[in-house]
Amino acid sequence: MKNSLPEDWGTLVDGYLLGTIRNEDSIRLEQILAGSAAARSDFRRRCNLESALRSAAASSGAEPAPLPSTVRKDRWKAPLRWAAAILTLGALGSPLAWALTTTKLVATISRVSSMSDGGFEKTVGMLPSGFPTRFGTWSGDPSQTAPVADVPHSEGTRALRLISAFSEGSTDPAAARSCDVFQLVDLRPLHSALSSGEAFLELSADFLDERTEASPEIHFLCKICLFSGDPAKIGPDWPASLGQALASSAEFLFSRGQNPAWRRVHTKTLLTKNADFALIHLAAGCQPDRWKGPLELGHQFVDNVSLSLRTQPVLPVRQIKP
Amino acid sequence: MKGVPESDFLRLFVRHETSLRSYARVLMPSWEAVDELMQEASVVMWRKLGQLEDADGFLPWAKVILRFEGLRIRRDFSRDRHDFSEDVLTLLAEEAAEVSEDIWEMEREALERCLTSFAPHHRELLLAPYRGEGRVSKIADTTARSVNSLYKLLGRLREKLLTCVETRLQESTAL
Repeated sequence: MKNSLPEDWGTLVDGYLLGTIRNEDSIRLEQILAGSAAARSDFRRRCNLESALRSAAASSGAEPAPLPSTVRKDRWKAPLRWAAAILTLGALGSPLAWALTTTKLVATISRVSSMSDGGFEKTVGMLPSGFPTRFGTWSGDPSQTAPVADVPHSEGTRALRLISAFSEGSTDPAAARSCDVFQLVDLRPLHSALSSGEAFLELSADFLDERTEASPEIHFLCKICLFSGDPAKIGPDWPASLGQALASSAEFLFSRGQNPAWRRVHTKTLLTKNADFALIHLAAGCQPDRWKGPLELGHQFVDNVSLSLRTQPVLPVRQIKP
Repeated sequence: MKGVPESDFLRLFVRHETSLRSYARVLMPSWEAVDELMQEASVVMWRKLGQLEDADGFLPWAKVILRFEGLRIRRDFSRDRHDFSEDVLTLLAEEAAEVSEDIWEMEREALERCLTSFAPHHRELLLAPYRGEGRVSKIADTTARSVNSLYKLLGRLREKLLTCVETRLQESTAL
């Protein structure tokens, strides 16, 4: 397919995507796109990859700044633009009359303080095994807090080393496909934040694959699930109890080793009003078709886990009957 | 009862935001324009939510709105530089909308994996254009290389990345 494209095709599209294209090249690019389905197909793929590169840059960016409990308006242009857009919709799109309320037009972001020890500084040694039975403690499969040798640590002085995969109820090591750690987080203190507007929970974590040689592929998981009711009932039925989740969100990071570096992963979910607690689930694992035999871990770390509450302004309009 | 409640709109929008942004990038010439399109289109989606029969149809429905809003916004662009004709943009939009979501996702996933195979300093350069204006120049300062030579290297790295993605996609379809 690409044989039919000019030699400098990649340069042309890159120039367009990076905003450095000259007018005459833009005209030529348009002519090629108009006459070639292969060019349009390749252009679409490059646009998609451009989008993925931008996401990767966002998720592995610089150290995040400390989070204030309330942020200035000008630092949150996107949500405010969104709210402003809704205002515009109210003014232009409805046959009914709309009017401003006195609602505060401020997006907020704050750390969820009921999540404990995201830097693994307070937990010393091996994590308790099994599913957590109370809020604010880490536990799960074999894993241990430890200093990170030879690689700059992500945050603080320690990180959590994911030591080995474990399969509940199986003695076959080949059946173990992941090392999972969990924390239950009490969300009830956040209910007051849900009185107006939309609220999201954003979970972030740094992961490190310390293997220096090219190695079989593993994945890291950063997941959050929201539940209502009794947290003690989640563990005994795990993972079937996942079906009771009110909402969940997950993000994967894949690695084959070679380039040890911390990489940050984010995932976010809408916080529903009836959510009483969240389950934070972090893991290193592999797909059965990608790693034959027992999964070898021990060079994988997680650190700097944070849970943030983001609120967005309530729809700043109210409807007045005609 | 059919239909999507207004309370579900934001949830659907957030869930599909990555896919919608990727599609919008095909239509718009810059990320600033993509942001503008996403903002404008979200308002239209909200207004027309009643047309949507169920949540499963959200993504294709939202793409149609992105397409029409994208064309409208581009008509208003400044004419001081060349812009693609509406015919070409329509072709791009229609053909991109026919590509299944699985393929879009497989491509993005392949890129993420391919990125890990690059040396850290090359990965840094690949991501530099998306980390704010002047990032490539900053790398040039710290590495004592010219900005021009770095952009040439960036071009070669992007081609290498694309080749890696295509190889991975061929491998996965051959399985």
